[in-house]
Amino acid sequence: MDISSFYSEVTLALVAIGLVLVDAVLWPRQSSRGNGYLALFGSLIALTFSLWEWEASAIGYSVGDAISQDAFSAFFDVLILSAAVGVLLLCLHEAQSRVRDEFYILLLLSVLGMMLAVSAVDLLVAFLALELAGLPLYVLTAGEGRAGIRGEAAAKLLHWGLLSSAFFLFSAGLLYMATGATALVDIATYWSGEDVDDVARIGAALLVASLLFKAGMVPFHYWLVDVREGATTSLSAFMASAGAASSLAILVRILTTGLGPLHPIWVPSIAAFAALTIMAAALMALNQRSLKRLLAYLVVVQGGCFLAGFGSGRAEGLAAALFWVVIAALGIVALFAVVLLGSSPRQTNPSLSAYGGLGRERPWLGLLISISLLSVAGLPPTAGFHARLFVVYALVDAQLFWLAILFVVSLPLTFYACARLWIYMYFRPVPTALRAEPSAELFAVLLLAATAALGFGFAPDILMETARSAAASLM
Amino acid sequence: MDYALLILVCMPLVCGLATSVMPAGGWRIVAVGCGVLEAALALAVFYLAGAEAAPHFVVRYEWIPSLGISFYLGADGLSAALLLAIAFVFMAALYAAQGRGESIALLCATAGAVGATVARDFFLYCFFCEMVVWPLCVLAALRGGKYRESAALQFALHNLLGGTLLLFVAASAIYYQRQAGLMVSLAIEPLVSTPLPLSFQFMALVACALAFALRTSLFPFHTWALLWHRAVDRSSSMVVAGVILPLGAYGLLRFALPLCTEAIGTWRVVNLPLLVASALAVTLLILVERHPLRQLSLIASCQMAWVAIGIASLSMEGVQGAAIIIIGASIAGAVLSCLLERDEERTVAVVVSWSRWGVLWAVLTLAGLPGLGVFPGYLQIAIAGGGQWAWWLAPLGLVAVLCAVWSLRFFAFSGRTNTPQLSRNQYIALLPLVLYSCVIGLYPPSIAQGSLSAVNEIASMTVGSQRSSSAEADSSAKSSEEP
Repeated sequence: MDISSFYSEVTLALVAIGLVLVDAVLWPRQSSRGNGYLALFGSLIALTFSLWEWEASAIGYSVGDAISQDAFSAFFDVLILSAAVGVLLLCLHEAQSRVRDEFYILLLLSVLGMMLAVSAVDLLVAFLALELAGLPLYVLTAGEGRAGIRGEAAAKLLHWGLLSSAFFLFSAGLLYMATGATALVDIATYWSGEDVDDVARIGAALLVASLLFKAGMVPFHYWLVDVREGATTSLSAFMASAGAASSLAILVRILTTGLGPLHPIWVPSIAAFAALTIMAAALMALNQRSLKRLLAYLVVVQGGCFLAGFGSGRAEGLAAALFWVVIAALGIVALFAVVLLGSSPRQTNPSLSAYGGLGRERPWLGLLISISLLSVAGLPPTAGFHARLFVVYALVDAQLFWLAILFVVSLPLTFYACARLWIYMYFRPVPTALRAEPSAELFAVLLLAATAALGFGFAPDILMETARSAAASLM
Repeated sequence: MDYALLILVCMPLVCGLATSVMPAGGWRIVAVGCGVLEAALALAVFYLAGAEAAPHFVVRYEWIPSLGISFYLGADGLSAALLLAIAFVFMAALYAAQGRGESIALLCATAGAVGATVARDFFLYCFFCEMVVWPLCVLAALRGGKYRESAALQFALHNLLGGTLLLFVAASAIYYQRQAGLMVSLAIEPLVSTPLPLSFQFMALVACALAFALRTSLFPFHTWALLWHRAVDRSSSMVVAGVILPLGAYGLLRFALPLCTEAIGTWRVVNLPLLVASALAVTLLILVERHPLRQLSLIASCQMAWVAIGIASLSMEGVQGAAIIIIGASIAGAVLSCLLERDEERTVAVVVSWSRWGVLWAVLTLAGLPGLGVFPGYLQIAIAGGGQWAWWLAPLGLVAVLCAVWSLRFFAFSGRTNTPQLSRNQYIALLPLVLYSCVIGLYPPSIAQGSLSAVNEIASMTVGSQRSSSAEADSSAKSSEEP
């Protein structure tokens, strides 16, 4: 087995094990910031390896029929690790008051699970990777955060997470019963045959439903908002960016590789789910008063936009969706940084009014937040504007004019949801309660996200070409 | 001078950044200096390129090659004439701005507006147009009155929806170009020279009509502008009246007309009555409106309806008239919104005694008095109206005159104050606008020669192609009738 394709995963595993030892031996009962910096350093090394693997074309390697290191998985590896770096910076800001030492170890293990999950081309390996990604999140949601609501969040995440995992396993079993295989390539071969069993069809439908459940798409979204609200802010940011992206990536891989021959059936279904998700979540986001809940709904909208691009059923559409998910993930991490800015030790779930007058009080901070908001809302000069064009073009190209029009109509709704935070920042008075001082880590997250949004806004083709090559490896 | 347009687009952004870090006292010099430099450079561009139909100072880079999108700037007669008006408006607005944040937002808006004016790629036009939205919302937030929040939100939502519809048209154009096996490009030349299928044109016409109605505040989408002028300060009001609305109309002329010429021709029987009804409705609203700032917004909306009528007439004269009204209305609208004094809550708007002559001039210009900036436009559209639809113009013209008389009474003989908020320099900053408008009004062919020749080129291509396709359709119909 050639290990050179897995340097980033191995690095993460080693750093996680190292952190356990360091925590036990060197820094017992001490501040977790040291562990945080070690985790951040390890993630940066893993990110460097991922980029190197991409550059060196150390891709296209498979471990049997279980894991495939192709351009698609490399794309998501870089995205997940970038989101993890941003989240670790948020953790370091939050660590001053609330984060325990185990947080970083469990977070790295979850990242490792997500990276394996996006590479998995076997249903059992995908299941194991999903569980590796999910179990640390159950523990972290239950163990961290404000006592009142974290219990509800943990219970919901555990309950619905395990239910979706059970459905995944059950559907994998049904597919195995019918096809005699768990490898996606073999399952794809089965659909080309003449006698397709109904059990296999039911298995495929349940498999897609379980993944939509994990990604929190409408109508499977109801658990997600409470979980985001109850978990600590950095954990919510992690689940909303890397977590959502990896769930969508697994869905894409299973649909294109394992259920590829069922293309005429799943393409319209995904388009319908996209339409439902975009409109329903955008409408529900409109009257939220808590920033965390607002962001939770915005994440669902972004997921719907991803599905819209992918639902076009073409490589260009998938590339547009990949472009979208990168921009959305970066913007969402930055906006969760804004949540921390309005938080206090007593109030970890700030309402929008906590940001009154922020734009006038701290103009530079206001500018950075505004750029991230513009990117999520899809306004120029940020990359969100190009993402809009790419998705609309993909839909028109696939002759899904109805979805393109619906997408166009939904954008002002998304904009309005984003504009509500902006209105408080610039139009409303400064609240009497003290706001958190932005730490260097928080400022770094906002600055990096804004730079990426503007950079990809002025040179969108760099990211789009990468997305195209990732999409081409699947479709 | 080769990179004059690039400098015009980038300089305000650089100066905006400089303004934000300059010490107190220095930032104003940078902001106003940038406004003056922009105006001077725009004047030079107008002098060198304003008489030509072909684009000058062309800057072209491939931006998103896979979709045929390029960063393509160029100034022909039409864009140079509008560029000059917009640069003058921003110079006056920067003079009138009172705070650092306000100046930065205005400079960012300048970059977007200038970029949209000289953009020769449809996507680039959409990009720059939407770039203006956010700074104007910041302006409203910083200096707005009681209704600033809903005004900013309505303005942004209307413009964003319009922008997204245009993006949909751009995406569809790429798709249809690929379908037809044409070279994929959103640059203006291929869009004009290779007409797209009629099915696309009908869809594009509906989307473009909606988008421009939203952006130019045509009736019944005029409510955001009513609220805007009443809620914001002088600079923001000037920018919307003198830049945002004309830019929307300019896009209609520059990009929508070539994109859907045949569809406009086919649906003329529907378009024209709708537009005339829109103009008539707004004119009637002016008669019952008592707030000067809302009246100002309605007058601007009425001008935009005239522009759309000129374009929809699909005749050479109509299109030329539309181009003249765009520039004339931009100037007069900006001057009028600058001269109206506002209180903090924007509940009262009054005229300073000695500047009422300026107000009178602007109202007369907008009303189309011969010898002033907008009159040649009205005249051209009236000439274009000769023939089957001329009678529609009669009631419209009559009501327009009534409206003008009413506006005169309202503006020139009511609410005055002797304590102007503008300084002498700020009044002086308005002079170039007034001069420019007077020159257009007194002798349009000389000063607007380039503008007209550029419009002629658009009109000859689009109207010519429409006529030729109609002629082909007629000849094929005749040949099918013959035994």
